[in-house]
Amino acid sequence: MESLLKVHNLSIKAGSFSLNKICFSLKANDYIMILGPTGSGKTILLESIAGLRPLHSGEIFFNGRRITDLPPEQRHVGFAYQDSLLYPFLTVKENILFGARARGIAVEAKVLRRMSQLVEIMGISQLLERYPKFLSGGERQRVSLARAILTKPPLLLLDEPLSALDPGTRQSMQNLLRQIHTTESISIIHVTHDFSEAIQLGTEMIVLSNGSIEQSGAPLEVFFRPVSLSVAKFLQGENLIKGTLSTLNSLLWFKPEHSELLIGPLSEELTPPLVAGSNVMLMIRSSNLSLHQSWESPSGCISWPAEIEYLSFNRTHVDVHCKGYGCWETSISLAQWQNLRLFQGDTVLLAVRPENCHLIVC
Amino acid sequence: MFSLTDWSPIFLSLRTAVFAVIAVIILGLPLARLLARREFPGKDFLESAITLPMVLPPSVIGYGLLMLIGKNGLLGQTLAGFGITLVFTWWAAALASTVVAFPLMYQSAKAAFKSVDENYEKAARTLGASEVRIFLTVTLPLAWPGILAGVVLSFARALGEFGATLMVAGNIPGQTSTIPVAIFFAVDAGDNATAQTLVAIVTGFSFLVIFWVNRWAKRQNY
Repeated sequence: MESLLKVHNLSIKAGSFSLNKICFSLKANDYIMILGPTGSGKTILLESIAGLRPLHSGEIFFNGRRITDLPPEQRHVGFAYQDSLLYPFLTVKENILFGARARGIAVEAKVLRRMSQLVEIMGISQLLERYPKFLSGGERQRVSLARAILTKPPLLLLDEPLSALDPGTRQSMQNLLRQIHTTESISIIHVTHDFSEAIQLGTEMIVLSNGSIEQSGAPLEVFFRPVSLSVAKFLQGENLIKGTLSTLNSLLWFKPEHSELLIGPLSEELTPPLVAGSNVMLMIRSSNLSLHQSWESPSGCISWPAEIEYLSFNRTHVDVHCKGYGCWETSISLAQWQNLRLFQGDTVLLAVRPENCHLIVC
Repeated sequence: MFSLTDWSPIFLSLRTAVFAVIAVIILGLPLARLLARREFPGKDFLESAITLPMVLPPSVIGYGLLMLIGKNGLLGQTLAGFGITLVFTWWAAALASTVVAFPLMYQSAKAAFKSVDENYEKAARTLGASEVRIFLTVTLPLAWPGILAGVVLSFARALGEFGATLMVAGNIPGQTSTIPVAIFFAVDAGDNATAQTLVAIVTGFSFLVIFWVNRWAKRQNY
């Protein structure tokens, strides 16, 4: 399938910061989440795609056409910011029509019809004559979104549009974004520093760090299999255990630091950079780590004993922190906890399927 | 006690001040916009030169203008070749007012443009607006309160201009005798009634303008 947007070797210098050789492409109907800590270059990348920043080197193609040097007003790419940036001296309606007016089509019947439909979808039809200062944060973002997509750009760029909103409003805005993405069949690049948002919305995920792409792929793939320690930490990877790789009976095992236990056999292939003796981090998402009271390992699982250090209760589940050849964290449902009657100091069996043991080369 | 036989100083002053304000808007706004967000070598030097008339004694400005548009001045000589004389005409008074009002307009406008969040302009660009359209429909409205302050300040300064005006335009009734000049010569001639009337008019008028602007600015906070 032909890509809608292709970014090739994009580099930008902005003061002491630089974006280095960013490459990625976006197909029609993709919803790419760009994730990264503050200062990783997310906004600069979006602005360069919109044409608001000159490139140092590299190229951008849009619909097969080279747009590297095209000014933003000719790119037809929608852009919505974290601060909704509504013009305070214009009403909601005038704000939404701003782009149409700039293109000289604001009075056309089909544009006005389009606006009525949009404000209906966004749930802001009752706000049209108001000024921005009388709107809530969520309402402003809806207006800003309507303004950005009024003229049906094929691509919408979102710069942390939800991060200034309270959790309830954020949830409803996420639903709205998902709805717009499908009903408008618009492609979206959405920048955020919140990985749960990225997993809920994205069809693709790009993790940016210090101006370079650290990892890209399907959101869950990135979530469960981060390629580096920094990505794993940024995605709040649980059960990161330091150790070395060893081979036994031509199978691959993980040996935690300061222990004689061998966890395995692992299902990962022993291909470079994974070699016997190499220092690695093992990562097991706590949702993949199960807890048992019987001493019999569940079939197909790797298991080892551990002692419960402490339990912390949440509304729906209990986080169990164990110690045994490393510190482990898992969670069980309240119902399961009631059944097992677990307490601090109990010894349990931890089990994981080999394919859920993820290795990160240090 | 209040009496005025000659109303011409009032109309002259208004005409001069309005001319000066229009001139400083036309010259000052684009320059302020240009310099507000741009750094280049020599910028500090240029800005100091632009601001200089604000702090120089009016007599220095008057002398400088005479060197420029006087009979033997740089520009004066050239203009004389076309049969045009500026000194001791209304144009000289208007020029003097413009020069002293310019820094006030420039400084206010520059601060106003600087305070505009650049992202508003970026958003407008992504919505398809051209640079000129953005300046007129986004930057100007956002900077408007600051620009208005500049308009008022420069109007007041132009209206009150005395020293430089006296030096380059003199005191020709009906032509260059603006309110401040007329007050000075009325007092000098012991005509207190005229002086008091002009003082009352100019004070009342200035007060009303500032009062209205303050009220207006209060209503404009978005």
